[in-house]
Amino acid sequence: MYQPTETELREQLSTFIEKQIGGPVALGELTRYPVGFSWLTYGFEATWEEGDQRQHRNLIARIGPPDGVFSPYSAVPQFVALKALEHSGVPVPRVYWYTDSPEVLGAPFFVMEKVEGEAPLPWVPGGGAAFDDATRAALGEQFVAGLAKLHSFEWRGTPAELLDGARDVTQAAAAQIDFWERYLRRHQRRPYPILEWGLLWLRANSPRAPRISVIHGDYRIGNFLVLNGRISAMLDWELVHLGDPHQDLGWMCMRAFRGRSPLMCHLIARDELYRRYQELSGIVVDPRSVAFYEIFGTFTLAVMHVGAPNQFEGGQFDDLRMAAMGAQLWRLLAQLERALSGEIS
Amino acid sequence: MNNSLNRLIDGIVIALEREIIPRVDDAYARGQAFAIMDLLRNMRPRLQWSREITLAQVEIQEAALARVDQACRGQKERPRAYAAPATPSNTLDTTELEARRDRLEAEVCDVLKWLAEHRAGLDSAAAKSVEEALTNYMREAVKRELALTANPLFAEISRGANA
Repeated sequence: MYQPTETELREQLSTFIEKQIGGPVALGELTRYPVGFSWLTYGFEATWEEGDQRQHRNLIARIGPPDGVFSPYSAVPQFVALKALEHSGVPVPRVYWYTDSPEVLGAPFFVMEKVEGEAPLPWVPGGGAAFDDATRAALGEQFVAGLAKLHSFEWRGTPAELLDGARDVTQAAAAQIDFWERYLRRHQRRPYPILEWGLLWLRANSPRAPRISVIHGDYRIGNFLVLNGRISAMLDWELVHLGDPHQDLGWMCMRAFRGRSPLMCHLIARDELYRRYQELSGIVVDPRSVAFYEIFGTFTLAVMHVGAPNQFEGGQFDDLRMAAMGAQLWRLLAQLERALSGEIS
Repeated sequence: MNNSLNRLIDGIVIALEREIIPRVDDAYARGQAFAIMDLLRNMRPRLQWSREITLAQVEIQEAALARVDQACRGQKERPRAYAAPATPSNTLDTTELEARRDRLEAEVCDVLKWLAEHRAGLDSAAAKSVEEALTNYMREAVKRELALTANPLFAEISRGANA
C-alpha cells in the first residue's frame, strides 16, 4: 500500500526540486487536500534563490498512487497538456516539473502552481441554485469560453502531440470505448448486463468527430476554481486525450453534474451552451453526438464506480471513499438503463 | 454492494485506526471511535450479506431467462437454451446464491450480445419479446438495488465537512 509519511514526502520532494533548479530549496509543511478521488494532492510552499532573486512559490504536488482508481498512472499526459496550454487562454495552472520514475516518491507525480480559489461542487444541498444569477452568467461564459479555446487549440507541433487518443475522426469514439472496455474488464468482479448493453449500444451508434481536439475528459463543475467571481483554473486533467470535442460537451451535460437543475453544470442552458460554444470555437455542434457522449459519459462514470471498489477490495488501497463510490454503482446503472431505454424505444 | 462485507469492515477499522483516531483531539470522541472498532471486530464473524436479497435477484434472473427461452421456441436462430438448475435456488446458501447470480448475469450478457448479432435474421415479434424480457429484467434489478441504496454523501466526502 502506498502510504509515505508527510516527512518522507517532504524530504523526497526537496531532493527532487533541488535537482531541477540546481540549488537548495526550503519547503514548508505539506497539507493534504481531500479533493479528488484518484491522484493524491499535497500543497506546500517552496523558497529558493535564482541568481540574486529570491523565489517563493505556493505549489501543489499531484501524485498518482500505485493502487489508485486509474493506476498505473503516468504524469506525462497532464504535464504535457498543461504545458502546451500555458498561453492558450484556457485557464490552467502553470506546471513546473514531473517524473514517472518510482525512484523519487514511489509513484509518478508532477508539481504545479497552486492557484487560489474555491471549487464549487455539483451537489447542491436541497437541489437549489448553485450560484446567484450574475455569478452564474459570468462563470457560465468563462466555462464555455475555456472549452471553446481548448477544443480549437492547435495541438499539432506542441507537447500535446504526445497525448494518447485518436488521430482519425472516424475512430475517436471507438478509441474511447476500447479504453473504457479495457478498464471495465480489468476491474469487474462480476458481470453487469447493463454495462454490456451500454457497450453494444455505444459501438453501434458511434459518431464521426468533426475534428480531433485536446479533450479534458472531466470538464465540469467541481473541477474548476473560482476566485472573485471568475474561474481561476481548470483542474483535474488526468483523463486528457485527443478525441471528439463532443465528448467534453456530452460530459458537462450529464445529469450527474446538475442534479435537478435545467442548467448544464448548474451554469448554462443547453441551447445557450451550444450557441455560444459554436460562436466561440467555430466547431458546429451536432446534438446527436452530444447525446451519444452523454450516454458514453454515463457509461464511463458507472465503470469508474466498478473500478474504485475493486481497487479497495484488493486490499492495497484502503481509501474508504472508493468503497463509498462502489455503494453508488446502481445509481449510475439506473441512469444508464434509463438513457439506453430512451434511445432504443 | 460491490465489496465483500469482511473487506468493508476491515477497511473501516483501518480508517479509524490510522486516519481518524490519530487526528481526533477529544479523548471521549477517541473512546467512541475505539468502541466502533471493537464492535466491528466482534460483528465481523457473525455477519454476511443478506441471502434474501440475493435470492430475489436470482429469481428474477431465472424468470427473465425462462421468458427468453419461451420467446425463442420454434425460431431457427436462437441463443443457447436456458436450463433451469437442478438445485432450486431457494435451497442455496448465500455464497452459492452469489455464484449462481454471477453465472446467470453472464448468461443475460450472452443473450444481449446474441440479440445484437442476430436481430436482423430473427422474427421481429420474437426479437421484441427477447428484448423486453432482458430490458424488463434489468429495469427490475435496478429498481430493487436503488431501493436499498442510501443517498450519496459525495459533497461531504469531497469537502470533509457537512454540505
